[in-house]
Amino acid sequence: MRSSLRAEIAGVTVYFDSIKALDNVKLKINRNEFVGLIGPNGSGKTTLLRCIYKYVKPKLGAIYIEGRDLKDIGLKELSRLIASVPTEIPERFNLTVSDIVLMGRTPFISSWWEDRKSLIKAEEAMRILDVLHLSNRKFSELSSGEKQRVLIAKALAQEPKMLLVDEPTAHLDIKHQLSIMELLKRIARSNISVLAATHDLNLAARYCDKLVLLKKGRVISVGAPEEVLSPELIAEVYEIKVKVRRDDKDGRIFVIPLSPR
Amino acid sequence: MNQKIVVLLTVLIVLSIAISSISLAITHLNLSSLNERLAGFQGKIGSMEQSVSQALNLTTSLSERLNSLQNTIELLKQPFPVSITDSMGRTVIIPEPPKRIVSMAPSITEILFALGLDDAVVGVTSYCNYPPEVPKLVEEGKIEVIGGFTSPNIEKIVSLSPDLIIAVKLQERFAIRLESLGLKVMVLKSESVSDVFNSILLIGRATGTYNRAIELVNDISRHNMEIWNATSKVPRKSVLVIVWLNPIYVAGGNTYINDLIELAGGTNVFNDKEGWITVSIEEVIKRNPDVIIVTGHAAPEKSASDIMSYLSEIPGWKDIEAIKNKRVYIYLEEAEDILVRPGPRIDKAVQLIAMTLYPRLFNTTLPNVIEGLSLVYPILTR
Amino acid sequence: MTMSRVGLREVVQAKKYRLLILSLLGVAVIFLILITSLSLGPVNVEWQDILSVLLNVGSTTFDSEKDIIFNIRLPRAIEAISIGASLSIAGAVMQTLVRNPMADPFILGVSSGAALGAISVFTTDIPFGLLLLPICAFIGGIIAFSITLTLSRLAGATPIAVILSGIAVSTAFSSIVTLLLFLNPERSHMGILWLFGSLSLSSWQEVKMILPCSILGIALALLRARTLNVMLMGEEQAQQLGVNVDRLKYEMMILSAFLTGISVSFTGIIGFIGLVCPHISRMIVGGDHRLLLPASIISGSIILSLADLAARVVAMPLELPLGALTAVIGVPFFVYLLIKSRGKYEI
Repeated sequence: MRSSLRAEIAGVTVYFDSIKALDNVKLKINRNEFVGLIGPNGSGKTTLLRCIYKYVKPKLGAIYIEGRDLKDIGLKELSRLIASVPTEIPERFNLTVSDIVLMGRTPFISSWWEDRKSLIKAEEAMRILDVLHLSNRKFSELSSGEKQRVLIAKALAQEPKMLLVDEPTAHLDIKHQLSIMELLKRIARSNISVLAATHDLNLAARYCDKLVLLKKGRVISVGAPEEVLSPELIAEVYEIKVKVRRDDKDGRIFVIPLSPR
Repeated sequence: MNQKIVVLLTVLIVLSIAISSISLAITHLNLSSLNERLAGFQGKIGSMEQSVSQALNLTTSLSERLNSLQNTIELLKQPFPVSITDSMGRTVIIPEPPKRIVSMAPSITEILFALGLDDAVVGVTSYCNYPPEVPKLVEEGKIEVIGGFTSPNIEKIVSLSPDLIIAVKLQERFAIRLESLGLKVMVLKSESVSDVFNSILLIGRATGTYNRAIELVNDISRHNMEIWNATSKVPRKSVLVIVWLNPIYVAGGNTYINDLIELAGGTNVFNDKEGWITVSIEEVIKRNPDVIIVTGHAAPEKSASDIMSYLSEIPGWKDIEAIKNKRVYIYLEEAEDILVRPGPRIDKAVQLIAMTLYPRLFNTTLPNVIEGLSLVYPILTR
Repeated sequence: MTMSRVGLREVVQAKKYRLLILSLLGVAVIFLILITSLSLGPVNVEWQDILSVLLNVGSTTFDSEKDIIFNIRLPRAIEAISIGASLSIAGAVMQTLVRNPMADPFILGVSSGAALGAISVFTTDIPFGLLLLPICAFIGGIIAFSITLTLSRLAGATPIAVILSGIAVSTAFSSIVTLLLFLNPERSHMGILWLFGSLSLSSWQEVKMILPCSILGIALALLRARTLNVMLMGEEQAQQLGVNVDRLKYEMMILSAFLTGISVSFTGIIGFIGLVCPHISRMIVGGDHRLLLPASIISGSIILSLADLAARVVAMPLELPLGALTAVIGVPFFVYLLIKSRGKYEI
């Protein structure tokens, strides 16, 4: 039977000068999983994401994508496997929404102008994210929610097998927060694994299949939200006192913050 | 009977053969002895040659002078084509006396007109204002303006179809470009008074006015010598010539202005430094010049009185001899022109400087701001 | 706000169309300016002369007027077009590379290095040949650029590192230039004029060297147009999209330094073109390099040609310094566009 494993982080350790940013991180991500990466600032979430698209090189350990060692995968090939959604991009230049989404097709275009297939794929992505009507608008003029959707559309246009998202809900109002998380879950279900770093424990608890709790570069806990989000673990990692309750309707847990410890 | 003739003929033939052989042999013998004698003669000639060459060595300088005299005589006959080596070491071949000359500097224009080449000049710079015919000829359209001194217009020059262009060292890049367009260019430098003389002579040779050029150089030299002799009777005054204010640029040694000062009987306070140099305020105080000469363009925005007060207000300068005794002179207009142009009026410049340094010697008093040369003219001899 | 349901196909189609119009219009304007330059000057020429010169470019014997058009005005006009285009592209590329619209091709230190090379020749007594000055200037530019490159690598190779290294090198080299000029005032007189920039010594020999280099450099930049777009998203994103960011950065820096060096070595420092023309282009056609680079080529050529024309013609027969005129001509354009695109242009 075909393995449902999409990615495996095997004992990755990263040093920035003499500081250990990641310490022996082990993690498995399945094909249709929406994995949430949680932890306080400086816990290594962004660093971990950067390792996966080879922006940062681990000192120890390896990362496997669909069974292949990242070291053996070139940048160009990697760009067809993994897409990352940044929190923001530089807005100094007059780029339009379509400019940006079409950039997601870079790994597939070798000529000056975009080929037909690229245009179709990009349009599809924009339709899914409901930003097609914004094609000609300048990116800098959009609302935060719209911007985030455009960036996700760009990543989708890349036809990746895995999506890496850094803080998908930062700067968004609550309606957009919910719709983005919903969207990411649907994307995961369409066989594109999603690994998202987030600060929002409740959203993570509600939507993610699996959570990874990091503290100072080390994995404290991995598992279903109810396993990872225990008051003891949260207190240890976030240094706050919380109550964890379960919603009686759909059984999902939610976290009620009480006070800093 | 026949037998006798045959015998006689035979004897004759044999005799003639014998005589021929013998004479050949004798000639041969003579030749070899001749050869021997010739060899002997050659030997004697050889030693004679040696003594002749020794004699020649002894009289080498004489014959060299004879040669150069010969050359001069040849040149005076002005045969064209002439091959000129200009100040930059470049060779220009001029097939016949130029009839369309472009001058790229005011000093060159003055030289050309002083050599009587009025009719041959077709292009001058916008700064060429002497002799007074020049601006008139420009106005009448007989001479065209080819641009400024630092920004001559290549196209304008080419459009005049000149057969000779004369430029100064500063304009070398333009000279190269003009040459690449197939025109003849002479480049002259003026770092000393002898450079100026050399330029005049070179222009004379190039234009077929060599004798006039020699006369001109002689006149200027003679005049300079007169001044020099006149001033040798008085103790030398020290002089500072300022060409730019802020920072202060002065004429050092190895400039033609330095030579002019020497000829005028003065001593350049900075003659130990080379070229045009910036100097510090203290250095000037230390060298304490007796007289200071400032060119009008040293501070283009300032008026003459501004310059005077500016100098006296420099810290420490009020005690300098020149400032104390009010011996600061500002050369404007024509006075400045003759000082800064390395052309045929350098003797007037020498005269002016001498009169500036030793007014009593020349029975004159010069104002501190000197513009025209009207005071100077009556005393000039040429 | 337009709620047009415009498909991407139409968007790209529109871009291609705009590029076509831009190119045709641009070439037409440049050609017009070329003809005008050929007809203006201290010497009067007839349009018939211009036509026959352009038609028999091959022949070598001309009468005086055609000679002037062919040997003086034509190479000068072509040089203005190439150098305007080169400087503009060099500036556009640098602006993308350091992601700062205020960058210009001189931030890499090339111009100060070239200035040092040239002024050294002016202040020593070495006789000029046709090539001595440009070669020394070019070498100076390359040396300064290499120092900037090395320095920026040591400092982390980020855009800020590049800018600061360039500033350090430019300042150092400029100070040495100032010192040389100060110590040798009489010899360096012409050197100072070189610094102001001028095309007055343009010739076919120069064009033969400049034109192929410009075409080569510009073609290489155009090839990378799409990739440069991606760089606008930031280096992290660009790499994530498969672009070899390091290699691209070095490629583009060397390209920009090369184009700048070629231009500056022959003409002196002509500022403003590399900064303002890419801006003007960006204001008109947007940030997509597939439109921006061609527009930069066109705007650079046009502005430098106009400036040189003015330099030649305004105070005939005197020639005005080119560097000053590029500013005089470029600024009004720039200000007009700045006001017109009020608020819509982010910096």
